[in-house]
Amino acid sequence: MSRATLLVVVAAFLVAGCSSGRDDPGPPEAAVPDPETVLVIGSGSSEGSELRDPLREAWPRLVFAESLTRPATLVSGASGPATVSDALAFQLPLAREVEPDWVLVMLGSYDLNRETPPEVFGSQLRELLAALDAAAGGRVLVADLPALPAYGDAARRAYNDEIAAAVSEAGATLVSLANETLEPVDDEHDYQPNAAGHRVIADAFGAVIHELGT
Amino acid sequence: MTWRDAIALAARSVGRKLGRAVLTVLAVGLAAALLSSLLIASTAAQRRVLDQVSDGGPLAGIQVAPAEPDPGALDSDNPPRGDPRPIDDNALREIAALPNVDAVVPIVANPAIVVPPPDPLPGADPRRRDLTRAGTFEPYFDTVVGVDIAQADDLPIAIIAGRLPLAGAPEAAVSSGYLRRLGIDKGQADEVVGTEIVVGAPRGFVDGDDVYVRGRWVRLLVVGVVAQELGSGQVLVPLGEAQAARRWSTAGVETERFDIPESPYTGLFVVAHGLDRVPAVRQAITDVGYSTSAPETLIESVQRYLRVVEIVLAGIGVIALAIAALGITNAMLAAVRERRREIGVLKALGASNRDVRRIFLVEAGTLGFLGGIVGTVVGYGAAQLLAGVVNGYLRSQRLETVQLGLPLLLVVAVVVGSTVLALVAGTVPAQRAARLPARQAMGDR
Repeated sequence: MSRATLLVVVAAFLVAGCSSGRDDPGPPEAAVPDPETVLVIGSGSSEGSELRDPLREAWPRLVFAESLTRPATLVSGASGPATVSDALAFQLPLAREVEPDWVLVMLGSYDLNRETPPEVFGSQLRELLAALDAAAGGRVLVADLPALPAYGDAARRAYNDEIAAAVSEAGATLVSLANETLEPVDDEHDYQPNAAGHRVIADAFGAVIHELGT
Repeated sequence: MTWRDAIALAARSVGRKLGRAVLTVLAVGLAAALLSSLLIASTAAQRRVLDQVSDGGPLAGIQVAPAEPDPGALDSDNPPRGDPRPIDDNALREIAALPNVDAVVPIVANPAIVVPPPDPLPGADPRRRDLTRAGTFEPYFDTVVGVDIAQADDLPIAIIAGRLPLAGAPEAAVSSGYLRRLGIDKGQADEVVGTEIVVGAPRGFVDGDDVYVRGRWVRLLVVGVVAQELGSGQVLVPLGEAQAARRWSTAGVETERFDIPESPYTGLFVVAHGLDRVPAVRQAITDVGYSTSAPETLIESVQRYLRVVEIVLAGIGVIALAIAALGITNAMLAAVRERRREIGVLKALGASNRDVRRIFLVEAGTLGFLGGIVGTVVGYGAAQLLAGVVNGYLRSQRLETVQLGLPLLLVVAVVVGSTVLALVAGTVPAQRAARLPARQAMGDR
């Protein structure tokens, strides 16, 4: 190595050693897949408003946390004592807005509570599912009604028949809870399942999502 | 006589009295070490103090608020704001195009419901937990703050654990306020890195006669912790995520339960081209119609005080160097006395006064140059040692540590300064040697 080369090498080391490290390049852009968006259509019982920790224990939260990989976005339209008719009016527009990849529907408990005739319930549900199919473009999963002490068995079976028929006609996917018996969160809110019941519902939705593939 | 001959003669002379040469170099080296270590430590301290004053961001940073300027309040660092005025893309472009503006970083804030991990982390203080009835950490209302991560270097953000979120990724950094909420000390900030939070943007909607709130929820991986509070928020996300949250929230109806900022950008952080350009840039932004704030007056005052400290420390080092220079003069005078015969021979062989002066100046310069290099290395080592002690104390107090740099300019200045000082110190002995008549030099044996 010539003296000149040695001098250049030493000078380069000196300059490199004297840099203060403030010129670090910024964090790189992440290569992230498009987020999956989940829309929940339901009533207050889907929100788990009477649970001790609704933002973690309600079934949509469990599905969001456990059955979907990041990045994922959850939009819940579920609120109050919503019937299918309420969902058509107040929750369907969300499907058009957020264009979800998954629509998770769980309705019927407050229709049952208001003693809406099963055929009317079924007709409205068909309308809702057809509209969701047109608006969302994603997969639509519809749960039927599990057994809760507040539901009359005969009425529940009639509703579940309507749900199965509507799901079949709309080309949606049925999440079967008909054979599950859940406990209410408390005596005052006997239309809402407790945390264990939400876990059962979440597992049922999760199994179908897993089967269909995220 | 050529330069090469002069250097060879000087080197031979240094070699003959190696002990004296080493001691002289050490004297210069110690003085240079004192000077360089003081300047390195003072530079690091200056950077630390200014970082503290500017919250770790650029000194020439200016905050632009979504409000009109308040007339008559321009001279203060943090003037009161005028009426609200939204900052949109046009305003951002207009400000970015102003003279002496190096960067403009948009900031978007949106109200949010934050759901932290349910269970207390291992290091959490059990007395400082907000728990739900289920015994899990209580979700809380907060604000998410979104910034363009690619421009994060221009922002007053200091990372104390992990890193900043990647642009476009479902990631977040949290503030030290978040740590406090979870009952975790700053020293255990690593505990929250790798946990997941769920963040919901609220939207008001009407159902019947009542206004309800529904959310757009995202899961975010906590990848870092920043030292500063993020305005009123504790969660820092990439700009795109904050904008998506804002779009969701602004599409709803107004409700008293949370406040959606009217302005598309909650604020701008403008970086001027140097601290001295800050007043002009602030005035230009004021002319565009926005209120600004910047700690320029405070920073200038602090800088003035720090400059005084730097001058005093440099003065101490220079005095030490001057004493070392006297040592060089003394050593060179001794060398001249001892080498009178050699000088006489050189002159008898035809060496001019200039040649003799050159030999002694080269010798003095070599001693100064070597002393400068030794001094810089030893000075840096001493400063590192000092920094180790100081950082140990800072860590025990859970404060940010200081980082030492070795500026190239300082290395060059100390080495060149030592060499020049040695040349000056060697001038008198070299002159005396040069003026020595050949016959007198020979006859003094």
